Amino acid sequence: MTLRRLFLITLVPCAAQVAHAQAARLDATADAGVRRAVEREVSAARLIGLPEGLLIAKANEGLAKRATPKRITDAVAALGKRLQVARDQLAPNPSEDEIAAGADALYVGVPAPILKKMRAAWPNRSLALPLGVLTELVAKGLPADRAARTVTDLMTRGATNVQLYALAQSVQGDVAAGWAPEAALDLRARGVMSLLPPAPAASAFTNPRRP
Amino acid sequence: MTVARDSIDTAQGLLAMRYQFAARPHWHLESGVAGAIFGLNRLTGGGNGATFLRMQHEYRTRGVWMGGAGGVTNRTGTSLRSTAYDMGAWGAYKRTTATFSAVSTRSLDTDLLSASSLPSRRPVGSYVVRDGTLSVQQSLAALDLAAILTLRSGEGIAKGVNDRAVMLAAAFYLSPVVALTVSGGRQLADPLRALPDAKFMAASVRVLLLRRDPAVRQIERYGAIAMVQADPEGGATMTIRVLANSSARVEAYGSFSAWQPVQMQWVLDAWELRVHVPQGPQRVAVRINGAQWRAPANLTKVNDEFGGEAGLVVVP
Repeated sequence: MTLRRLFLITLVPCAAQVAHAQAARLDATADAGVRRAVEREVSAARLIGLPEGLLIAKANEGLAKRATPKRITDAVAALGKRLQVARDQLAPNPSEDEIAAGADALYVGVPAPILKKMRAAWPNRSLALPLGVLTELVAKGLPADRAARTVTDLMTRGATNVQLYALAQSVQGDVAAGWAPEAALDLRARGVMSLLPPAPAASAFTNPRRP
Repeated sequence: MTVARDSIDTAQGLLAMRYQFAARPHWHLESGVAGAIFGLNRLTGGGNGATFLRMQHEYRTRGVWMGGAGGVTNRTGTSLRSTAYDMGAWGAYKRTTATFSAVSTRSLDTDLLSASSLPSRRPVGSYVVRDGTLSVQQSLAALDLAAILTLRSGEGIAKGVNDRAVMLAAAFYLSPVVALTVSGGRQLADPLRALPDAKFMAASVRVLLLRRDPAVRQIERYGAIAMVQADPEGGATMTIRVLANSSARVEAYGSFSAWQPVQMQWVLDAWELRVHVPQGPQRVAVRINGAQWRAPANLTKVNDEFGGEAGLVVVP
């Protein structure tokens, strides 16, 4: 028994694998009504190529939280719609992670056309993390347009995922310290911008100037 | 600062450690040493040292323990040894915690016992006292209240000792690291720590000076936090920490566990859970003693479709 072991920290490495395994199958506690409704949504999602596992995971989330059958079926149906919108806006070949992140962004109030503009800014790179950052900023209270403009500008200027992640973390810390979300975003975005090369072209959010 | 009928002046220190068994999360070992120098009106001044070892089993809001302690007191150049064996149980319900302990103490420190109000005549050689103690503690928002009743019987003395004592205590937390404490009542003679029988009133300021790492400071500011650290092989390790009583039942759940509650582990001074999470947005919430699920305070709070809340964290 050494002093070092006093500081031993318990790690639970298998929880993520457990989550993944459980997400593939509807929880056995689901009643017949929920099961039928979820299966209907899953079948519809499968037909149009949406990630059905996300729908099952949402239903299992409702069951774990002991929500009513109506709430669960409503949530699954709403998620199905969001996934479809996200897939369409992030066309042509969004990954499952991107679709899930897009649906999350729509859930917190990001307008659907913004997803399309972000895809235009990064046509060949995964949008999963930028969408996650945008979701976090909007959930924090920033106007969706403002947050999306900042994130897309940074993407266009060549910001990395690490820089976008650091931006979200910094804004979070500033807001926790009492800053207004918009002021924190402006400050932190300027900090990231200063590290990037000048913009090669107008971003997808810039209106064309008329002569 | 202590003011008592016996005019005790004392300076004392205590170092305690707690060892958490990784393979047996409900078991832990506690150990420590204490030292004191003192002056008493009824007895000459001197010093005392004591050590203890205790094995405890905790399960949710209850636990049992068994242990032993030894101490040496020196007032006049002669070392007077004392040994004690104790066992007990505790349980918590909502904000109330009750503890019962039984202690048997054998000591050669006859001076201490004769200096106390009982027994009526000085014992010869060693003596044994057995204590049964019931304590009840109530935790309010920033106030802890406690009442402690001790019943004592003894042997090895010409006439058995039978006595009782009541103590009351209160602690008011000005901040997570500063508390004002007030206590009073009667303390039965404690051969292990060389304390005589005394009625007392005490007031103190308790300040927690040392912190293990910045994360603990964050916990105290926020109550519960979740942090992610990128893993080289992809994804990240998410560490969730909650500042709550060690006797509480603390759980976390989220997208990482398919929303199945996962019991958190007590690690030194806070509840903690570490999980590997994949890249992308993750949601997580914690709860204490089965109460409402809450988002860790340093995360962005989002409401779910089921009437609950969770914290949103983006894994790079």
